[in-house]
Amino acid sequence: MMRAHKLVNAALALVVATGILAGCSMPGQRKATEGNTSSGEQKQQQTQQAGPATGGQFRMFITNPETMDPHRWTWGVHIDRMGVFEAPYRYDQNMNPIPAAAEKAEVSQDGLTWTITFRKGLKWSNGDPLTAKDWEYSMKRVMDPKTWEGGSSSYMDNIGIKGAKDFKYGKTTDPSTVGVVAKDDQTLVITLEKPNPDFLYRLCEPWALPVHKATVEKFGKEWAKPGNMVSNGPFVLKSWTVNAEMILERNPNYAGAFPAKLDSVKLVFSQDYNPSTLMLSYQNNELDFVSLQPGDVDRVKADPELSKQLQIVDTGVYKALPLLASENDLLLKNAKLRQAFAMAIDRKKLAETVSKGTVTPLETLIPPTISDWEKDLKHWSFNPTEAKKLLAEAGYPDGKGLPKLTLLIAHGSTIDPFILGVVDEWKNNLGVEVKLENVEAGIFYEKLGKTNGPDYLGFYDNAWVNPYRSADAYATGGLVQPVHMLPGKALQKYRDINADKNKTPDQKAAEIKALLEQELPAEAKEWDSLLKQADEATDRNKQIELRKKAAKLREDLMVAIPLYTWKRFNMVKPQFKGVEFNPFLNALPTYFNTIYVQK
Amino acid sequence: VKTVLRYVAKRLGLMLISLFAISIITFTLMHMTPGNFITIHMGQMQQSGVSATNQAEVAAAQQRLAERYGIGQPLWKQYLTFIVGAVQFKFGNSFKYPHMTVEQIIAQGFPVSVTLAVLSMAVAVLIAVPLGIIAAVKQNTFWDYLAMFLSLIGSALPAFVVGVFLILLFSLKLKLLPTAGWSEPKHVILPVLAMAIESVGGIARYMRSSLVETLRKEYVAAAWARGGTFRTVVLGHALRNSLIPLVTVLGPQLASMLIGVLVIETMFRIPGLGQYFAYAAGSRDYPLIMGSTLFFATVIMLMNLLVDVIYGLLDPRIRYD
Repeated sequence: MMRAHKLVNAALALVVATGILAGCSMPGQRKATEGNTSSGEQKQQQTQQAGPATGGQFRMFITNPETMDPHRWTWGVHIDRMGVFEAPYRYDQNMNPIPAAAEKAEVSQDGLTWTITFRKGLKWSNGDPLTAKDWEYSMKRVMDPKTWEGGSSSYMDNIGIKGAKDFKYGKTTDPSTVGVVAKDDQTLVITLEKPNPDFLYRLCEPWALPVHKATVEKFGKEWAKPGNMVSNGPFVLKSWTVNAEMILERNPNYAGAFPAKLDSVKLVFSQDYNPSTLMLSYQNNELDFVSLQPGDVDRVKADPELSKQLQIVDTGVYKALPLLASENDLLLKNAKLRQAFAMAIDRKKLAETVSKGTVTPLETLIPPTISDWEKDLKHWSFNPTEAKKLLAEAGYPDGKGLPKLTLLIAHGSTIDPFILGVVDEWKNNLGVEVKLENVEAGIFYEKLGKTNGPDYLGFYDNAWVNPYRSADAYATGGLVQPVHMLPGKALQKYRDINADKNKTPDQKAAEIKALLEQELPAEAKEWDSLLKQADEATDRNKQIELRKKAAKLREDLMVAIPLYTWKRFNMVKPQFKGVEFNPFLNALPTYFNTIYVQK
Repeated sequence: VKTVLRYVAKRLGLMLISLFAISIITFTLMHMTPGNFITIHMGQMQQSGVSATNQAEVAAAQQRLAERYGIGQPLWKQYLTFIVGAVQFKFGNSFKYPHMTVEQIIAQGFPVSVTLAVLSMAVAVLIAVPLGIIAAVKQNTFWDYLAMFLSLIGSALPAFVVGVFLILLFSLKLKLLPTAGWSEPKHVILPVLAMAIESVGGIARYMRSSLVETLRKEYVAAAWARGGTFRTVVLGHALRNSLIPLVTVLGPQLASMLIGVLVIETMFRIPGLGQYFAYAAGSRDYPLIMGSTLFFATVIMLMNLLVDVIYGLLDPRIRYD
C-alpha cells in the first residue's frame, strides 16, 4: 500500500525535485543565465570537483529503473545523470549550472540562439571521440516519438527548442526542422522559440545526455544493457540484475573535467519505492546511504553514534491542498471561504508537534528556500480570528450552512499526521468538520481527473516539485493552472473537448478559446493573461515583473492551501565525503563523482 | 494407467474452463477498478515540473498513450485481443516495463519465486516432521505440548513479522547474515526461514494427528507386540503410512507459499515474480496483471492435480472418477 510519502515518491519516480541544503542557507539567488558565465569561477569549481581517485564502493538504494535509456522518462534517467553520462552542464553544490562537457554556452542578444562550445578531446566509454554531432543526434533522438513511444520523453516541452513540439508530436517526421545543429565538432547551435531564462539549468537535465549513435543503431532496444551500453560519464554500467541491483564502475576512458573518485557504485532496487527495511541494511553495513522513514528519525536522533551520520536536507517538494473539481462551485466562487481555511491552520505547531520537525511550514506557493519572490506574496499565516471573520463574511458564520466537505488523500495505511492535524485545526478553529477520505492512488488520480457530483466538494492533498531551483518555475508551474478555476461543469467540458478524438487540434483550440472566454472568472483570466504575457516577453526584467505579478495574483486568489515543504533525513557512512544532495530529487546524491572515501 | 490418464485429461479440461472463468473475472475486476495506467502515469508526471503545464498538451499526451495501449477501446475488443494472445502464451508488453513482455518477466521472476518457495517448503518439512513425530509418540506429555506450542506460535506469526525479527537477530545483533538482496547464497537463508516458520505449524499438527491415528492401528500394535523398536515400528511402519495424508497438505502449502512470496520478496528485496505481481495492480499494468494472475492460477491448479495423482498412486483405495 502506498503511504503519504510513498505516493509522492511514486510521483517523483517519474520526476525531479527542488530545494536547497539546510545548513548552507543561500537565498534563491541564481546567477544571471544570459550566457555571461564567468570563467574564473568555473576554474575554481573544477579544481574543487576534481581530485585524486580514492577507490571504494558507494552503496545505496534507488527506485527501480525500467530502462537505462536517458531519453525515456523512468528512474533510469536519474541514474544516468548521476554518473553514467555527462550533460553539457551540471549543478554545483548550490544547484547552480556550471559547464561540464561544455566549455561554455553563449546566448545571442535576442535570447533565442544558444551556442554551446564543447571541451576538446571528449571521449565515449569505448574510446570513440565524442563531438557536437553526437549531441545533435541525441537531442533529436530524445524528441523522436519512436524513442519515447508508450511512455514519456525526457525532453520537456517547456524547454522550448524550435520545431521540437512538431517533431515530438508527429506533425513532421523531418528531424532537420528541429533547431539543433552541430556547426563543427565542437560547436552546437540551439535555436529556441522564445527566450528561456532557465536554459542552462535545462542543459543539466537527462534529455541533454548524449547517446552513442552506432551503439543505439546496432543493438536497438537492447543498447542500454551491460555489455552493449556506451556512455560518456565518469562511470559506466558494469552489471545489472533487473529489479535487484546494478554496479557502476569507473570509466577508464573518461576524458572530461569531473572524473570519478570512487572505484564503483552499487545500486540496489525494489519495486517498493521506499522499503521500510533500508535503515536495517544501513545499520548492518550493507548500504552507505539511506533516507530515513519519518518513524526512524527520533530513534536516530537519540543515538549518539547514528545521530552524527544524520544530515537534514530541505527539499523543494511542497505540499498543498487544491480544490476538488465539483459541480458545486461553492468553494471555487468564494475566495474568502478558501482563505478562511488557509488561515485556520497553525502550520508551525503541526510541524513541530505531530510531524516532529520532519517538515518546514509553508505559507506561500513559492517556498522561501526557492526564491525571495515569496516576500511580495500574501502569507497565509495562522490567524484564527481573521479566519473566523472571513468565514462569517463568506456567509457561513461558525461554519453553519456549509455543505459536507471532503479532504481527499491517498496515504495508504499510514496517514500523514500533518494532514490529520489540518482536519483538527479546521474543526477547532473554524468549527467546520471536514471528512477525510483516504483512497488508493489509482482512485485518487481518477477523482482528480474529472468533475465530481454536486455533493462531493472540498480539497485534495498533493505535492509538487520542479526539477531545479527556479523562481520562474515555481511562480508559473504548480498544481493549479488558471484553467482549473473554471466552474466544475465547464472544466469537465474543457476536458471532454481535449479528449475528443473526432475533433482536429484547430477545432479543439477554437472551442476551448470560446469556452474560456465565456466561463473563466475575470481574475483567472487576468492570471492567465499575465502568464502568457510573461511567456512572450523578450525583456527579462519585464518578464520577471509579470511573473511576480502572476504569482501574487495566484496567492491572493488562494488557489491551493500551502502546507509545508519536505525535509529529508539522510544518513551517510562517515568514511564517505563529498556527498552533495539534490533537493530537487528526493535529496539523493546529486552526482556520484563528487563522492570520495576518507580513510 | 489408462484410468489415471483419463482422469488427468478430464482435470485438464476442467482447468481450462476454470482459467477461462478466472480470466473473465480478473479482466472485469481490473476494468471496474477506478483509474488506469495512464491516469496514474500522467497524475504522477503532473506532480512534478516534468509534465507540460498546458492542459491541452497534457490531454494530447494522454490520448497518445491511450491509443498505444488500447485503453479506451471497447472492453470486448480488449478482452478478445488478450485471449487470442493468451492461448499462445503471449500477454504482450508490460505497460510499466515497456521493454519487456509479460512472458519475459515471468521467465525472469518465476524461477526466483519457485526457488524461494521450494526451499522454504523443504525447510518447513524438515522442522515440522520431527516435531510432529515427537508430539505423536509422546502424546499428551510435556513434549507434545511443547512441540505443538512452538508450531502454533510459528503459524500464528505472519512471515513479515518473523522476517523483521530474524533480521534484527541475525543481521543487527549477531552480524551473521545480510538484511536483504539476492546475489549470494547467504541471502537465501533469512527469507527462507521466515517463510518456513509460518508453515511449520500446519504441517507439524497434520503430521502429529496422522501419526497418532496410525499408531492406534492394529498392525502397529502387532508390530510392538512382535518386539519392534521405535526405529522399526514408528519410523519403519507407522511413519511411512502417515506420510500419505501429508502429501495432500504439502501441495496446497506450496501453492500458498508461492503466493506468499510476494510479501517476503518485497521485504528482502528479492527480484521474484511475486514483487511484480504485487505491484502490477497498483500501477494498473493490465497485461502484467492478467498474465501473472493466470500464470499463478495455472501453477496452483497443476500442483493440486499433481497432488491428487500422487495421492492416488500412494493409496490404491483412492479411485479416479
